[in-house]
Amino acid sequence: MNEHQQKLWRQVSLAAMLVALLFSGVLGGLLAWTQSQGKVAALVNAPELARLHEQLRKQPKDEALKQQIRALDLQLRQSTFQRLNLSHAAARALFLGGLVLFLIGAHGALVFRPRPAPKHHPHPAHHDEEMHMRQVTALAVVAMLAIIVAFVALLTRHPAQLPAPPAPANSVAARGGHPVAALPAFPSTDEVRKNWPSFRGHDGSGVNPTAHIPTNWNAAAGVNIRWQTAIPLPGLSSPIIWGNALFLTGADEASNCVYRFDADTGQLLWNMTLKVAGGARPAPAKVSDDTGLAAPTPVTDGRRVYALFPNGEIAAFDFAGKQIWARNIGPLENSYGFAASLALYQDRLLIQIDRGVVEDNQSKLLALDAATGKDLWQKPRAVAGSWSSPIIVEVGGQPQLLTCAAPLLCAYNPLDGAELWRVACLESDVAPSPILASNMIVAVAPNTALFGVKPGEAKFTWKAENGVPDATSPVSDGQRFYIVDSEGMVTCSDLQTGKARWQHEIEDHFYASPMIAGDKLILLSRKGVAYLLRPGDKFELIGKGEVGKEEECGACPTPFGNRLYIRGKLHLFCIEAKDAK
Amino acid sequence: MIAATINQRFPPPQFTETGHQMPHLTAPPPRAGALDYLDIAVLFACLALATWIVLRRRERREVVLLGLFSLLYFGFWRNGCVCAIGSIQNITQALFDPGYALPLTVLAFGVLPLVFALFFGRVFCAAVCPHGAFQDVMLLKPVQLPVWLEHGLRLLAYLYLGLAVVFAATGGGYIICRYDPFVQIFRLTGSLTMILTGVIFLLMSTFIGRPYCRFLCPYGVLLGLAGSVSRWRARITPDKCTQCRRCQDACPFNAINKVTPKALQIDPTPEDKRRLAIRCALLPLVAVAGLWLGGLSGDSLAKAHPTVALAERIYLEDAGAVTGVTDASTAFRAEGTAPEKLSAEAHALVTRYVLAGRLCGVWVGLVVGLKLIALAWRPRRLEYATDAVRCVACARCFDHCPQEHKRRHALRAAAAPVPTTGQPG
Repeated sequence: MNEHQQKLWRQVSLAAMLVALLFSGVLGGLLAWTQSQGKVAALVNAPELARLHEQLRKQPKDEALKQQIRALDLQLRQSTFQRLNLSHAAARALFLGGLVLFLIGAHGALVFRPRPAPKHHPHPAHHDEEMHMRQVTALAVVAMLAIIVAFVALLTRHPAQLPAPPAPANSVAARGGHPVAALPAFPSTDEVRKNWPSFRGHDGSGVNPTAHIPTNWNAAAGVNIRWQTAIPLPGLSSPIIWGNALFLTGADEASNCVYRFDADTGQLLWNMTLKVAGGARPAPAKVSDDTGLAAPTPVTDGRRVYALFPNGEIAAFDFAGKQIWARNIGPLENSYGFAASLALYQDRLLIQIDRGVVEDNQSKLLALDAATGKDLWQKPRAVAGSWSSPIIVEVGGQPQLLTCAAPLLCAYNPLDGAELWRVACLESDVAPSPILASNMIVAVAPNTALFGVKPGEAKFTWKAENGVPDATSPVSDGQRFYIVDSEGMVTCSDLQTGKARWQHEIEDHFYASPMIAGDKLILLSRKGVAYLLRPGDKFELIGKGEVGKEEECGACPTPFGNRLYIRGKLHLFCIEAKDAK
Repeated sequence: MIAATINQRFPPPQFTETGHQMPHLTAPPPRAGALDYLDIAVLFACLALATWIVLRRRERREVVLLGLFSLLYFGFWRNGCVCAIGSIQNITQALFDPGYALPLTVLAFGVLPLVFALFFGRVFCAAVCPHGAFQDVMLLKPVQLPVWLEHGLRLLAYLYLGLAVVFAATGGGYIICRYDPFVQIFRLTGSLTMILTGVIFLLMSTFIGRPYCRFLCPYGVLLGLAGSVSRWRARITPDKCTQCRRCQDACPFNAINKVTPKALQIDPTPEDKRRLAIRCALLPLVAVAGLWLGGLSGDSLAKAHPTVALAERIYLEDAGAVTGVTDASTAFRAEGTAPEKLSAEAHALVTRYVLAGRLCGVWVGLVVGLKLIALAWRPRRLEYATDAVRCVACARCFDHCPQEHKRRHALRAAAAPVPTTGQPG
């Protein structure tokens, strides 16, 4: 073959390649188009068809509509199958025709290409080029290894999210640990409701409708006492529970501590002291004896437990007792000592910090990222110092954070702190927390008045002055609400009108707020005596339990399942009927 | 039973009063068992033929023709299945899952190429593997990659092999098959993503010689290791190398090792020895680091397992962390099995994945460590030679070797009829 013929064949081959490329390109585009258009799912999910089906459900006897659906169904099927057939034909033509033609052309072009003269290779330089190349290659291998390691690091950020495995004995998990990273960032509403994650329950109502507790117990005689365990340090915080993990706080002037107990056995699983990195530990807060150094109840989301202390120290611990973060958000100083418990909504830790008088402008609502403890937002509050705890409630399907402090009953969006509504009705040193029941909020202006407020309204619905407590919060059975003041006056009032149904004086002193467990109203006195009443329109004492007057009970008891957990000054008690399953 | 396992691809018609009769579901009959043996026979014949062509005939054109046959038979005709590359997974599963029966065909496809590689080098890659043949025929304008890049990218194949074994051993699936870039082209159907991936590989193949074989193929790793001890593998010239270096230009795969200049054919220097000692000391450290990292990744790798994926889905659905349901979660709930049981199974699987991840990490660590040691070694090569691990016996270098040309000329002369004098007797 002469040079001219070789050139001609090469041009023919190149032309064949070009034609094949164009052919493949056009068919490839067609294939992609049919792929995107011809999905079978379109047959099922066609919006027009769905709309007609919906219409047919409302007019099942409309024959014209049926015909319309049949016609559309047929049209969609034909269109889908046409596209699929086209797609298959295009695919075969593309790969069997275009590819073969391309390869023939390409290889023809190679065969008939002008042969260059063999390259002249200079002799390798006499320096150590080979070893240099090997060093560079070793670096490349290390670089690839680094890329693989980075890939693995990325991979480990997305582990399988599974519920915690059953804990083998003596493992970290047996101490209550579980991999936080393996859980969603925050628990579902159902999970929260199944537990007792915060002060007076998930909604701060003090009601556990499914709890079933005995009608009598005696710690000295061991009657209906499942267990009792000494608490290392005192405090007025209430027990909170997640699964079988029970958390408490305690403090003295030297340390702020968080405890985890096994709710089944009472065993103290761990006792952790807060350690805030950097700087000296803040001085112990100045508090009254009635408030103490560990009044705020901690809160948990099933991943971590969060605890705040009056000297401003706040920390998160995982369930194994490892401190995740800690910081100082102080100062929190106010008269009597800081007492507001923590609230938690999704991944936001919410802290009501009310200090001084209104004019001091020192009060605020602070939100922290639960995972890191970093500030998310804070909102100034034009209120005086308070000791009331914020509660999270659901109003019209939306979450609201309710706060009480003179002069405001104020609701916020717990996500961003936006104020939703307010009613200016409170006065004095507000310590009782609000409750929401049957679309009525009950707020307390201590020693002055009670207010009934419908969520979202700018004024109160009713005002009552019977038996107004000074420190305890109300509790409601849905129709009535119950209050007890520190001198033992128990008042039952109508929830919707505020009118008193009955009053009864118990010769005892009360600091713990009343609670409802199933069909029992619990009034726990300072002497460690729990008076059990039947909620209703008349005073009816149905039982009594005692844990000992030396316990000086001031924390709210926690009804959970078949048990009632009572924190005394010295011990934590678990009350359960002996025959309870 | 077959009908029960087949999903209807299209929804049935909308109304039943028309009297439309739904056709019965049918399934194609299974392929005759004898044809499996035919596949083995064809494989064996192709391997033998490839060995004969590469080692005795030394003809590139014949290698290409055999490769095209393999591409058509094992690729387009047999749809890329059964496949030696994927057989790694079946064999692994058979080792770890007592309930899995390994088909003889798959075993043969996994073992025969390795046996040939042990004696004759990578003749399977040369002309029997449809993947290799497909990329080889696409190679139009080869670009030689820098050696350092070649070595770096080849690590991916070792990692891929490790992961494929992990997933096959733990029931996580056959990732080699799932992410095979060519099998969907062989079948002319499949997901658009994988078809496009295959097309991209083929386009790359026009410039970069066999990118899948060199940088990803897990079976190529095994063949390379087996080929490294082969005694009769392809050699550039059966005679003495003249060091013309033309073979080096001809090889698009960086599979020819250069000769060491005479001036550098020296004993290891103290610096060489120190480097070697350091890298030897690094080997266990890299292996331990691999062990640790592999263990860390086990939790994430476990998500590939359907049981773990289902347990996670159920958990997230129950926790309200995801919306909606999947077919799998709906079926699970309908089945009535306790989520705790599923969760316990998933945790047991995660434990297996952590162990498998550790072993995979050690494997990758050892590969990297040994590669670094090999690179610390001062080579002493007296002639240009094919690399025992990387050479795919494509026979390109033969056509460029002047010694080979001489040999062929001599053979042709010997085979030519002896001219007669034409004088009467």
